[in-house]
Amino acid sequence: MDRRRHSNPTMLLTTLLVVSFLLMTFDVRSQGSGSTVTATLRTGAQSLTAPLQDASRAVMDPIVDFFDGLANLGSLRAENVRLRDELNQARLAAADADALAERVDLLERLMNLPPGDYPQTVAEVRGGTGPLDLGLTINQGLEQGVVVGNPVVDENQVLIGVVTESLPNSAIIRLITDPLSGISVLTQAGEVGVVSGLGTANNLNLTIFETLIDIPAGEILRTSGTQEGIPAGLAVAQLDADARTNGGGIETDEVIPLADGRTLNVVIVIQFGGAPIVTGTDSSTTTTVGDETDPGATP
Amino acid sequence: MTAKAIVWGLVLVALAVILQTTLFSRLDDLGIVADVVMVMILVSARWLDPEPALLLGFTGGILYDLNGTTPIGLRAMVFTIIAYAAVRVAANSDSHISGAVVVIVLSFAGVLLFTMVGTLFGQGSLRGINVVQTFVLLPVFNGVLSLAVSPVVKRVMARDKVLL
Repeated sequence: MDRRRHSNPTMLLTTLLVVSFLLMTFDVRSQGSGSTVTATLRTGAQSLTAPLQDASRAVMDPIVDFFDGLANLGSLRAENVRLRDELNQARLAAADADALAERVDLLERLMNLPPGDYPQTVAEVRGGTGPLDLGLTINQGLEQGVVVGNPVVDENQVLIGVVTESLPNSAIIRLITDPLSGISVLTQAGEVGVVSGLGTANNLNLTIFETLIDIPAGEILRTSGTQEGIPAGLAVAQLDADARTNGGGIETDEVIPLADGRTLNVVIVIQFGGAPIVTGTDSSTTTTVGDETDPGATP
Repeated sequence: MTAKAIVWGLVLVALAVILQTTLFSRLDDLGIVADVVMVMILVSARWLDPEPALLLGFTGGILYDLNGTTPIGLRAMVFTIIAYAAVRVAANSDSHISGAVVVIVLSFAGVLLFTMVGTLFGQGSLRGINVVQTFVLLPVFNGVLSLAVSPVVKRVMARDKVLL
């Protein structure tokens, strides 16, 4: 007998869609508010799957690395030559930098600036879960001192994103390439602008609302230090072409991120800013940096 | 269909979530974009009755959401709908090839739904979307992947299926 004749899948479909809709609404509205429910759900699921993911990664990563290496063999050789040249130049520059560093130390002490060394947490990337997922999940969280708003950098201290949710042992990062991301940056001429994502790994958008100064191609944009939780001076992006003022401001998408967060296996979370504020009473709560500002806001 | 088939479906989808968040997130860097969870749900749903298929889609979506960075419920909603569609068209896709075509079409629909609902919920996925990669490559890769996955799923699930 056909059992489907007696079933009512439409009712179940409607119920599941309503439940999904409610869950989504609740999760979106509770982001940054320290909701324990969604944090507990994510923590529980991730603690169940983390050992399996680690095992899978241990098996699969060497294989993927091998094919990745094969696919990039030609470009790796060219890259090797280029890096050797850069190394020689860097050695020369390092000699000058030592003298400069001493001078900077002296000036920082004189001006009573905070030191450039902040506590850092090294974290492994769990995912990137696919082409439609613009964020990353890392394996360090609240218990390791990672809080919402912490900047995340690669091994060269290039900014790749910002922590948007912190769970006890994991955290979610919004990459600077995410269209919802906005990072306050400073040009070498001292103009403050906002670098926002376009959803692609290769381009960012730079907006400077009021300036009369063009920016030359190749200029490095660094964090301005005016955005809550993000220290000044982190490299973010580079101008790919001259950016000329238009109507008293600059708007260009010919800006290249200096690091592609989606290709990284290990990242560094800089614990800059105030101490974590725990909201709620149990250990599975999310945290927020006090007075977190809209990352897209113009300083 | 027996409870065993449902359990197998859940196991396969859970396995797909693990693979998606590890292996396939790295293959993405090499230009291979596929959603193995979506494929597993679409292929498995063909061998299930409507209600278990819906629950499989919902469970797989929730599990994926919990391990990703998108709002909890977004993929659950999308996967529930495409699982329902997969059950409805299952009778017309007897061979692996026609099954792959169904996977391509439903993957396209799923991705479209994901970006639209995601945009409504402030995910910005429609604004920064790579159209070719998302709406062409991903469904095609899913279709190709389904050709590899279908025989395995059929082997473990079809033997428990009662004629519908």
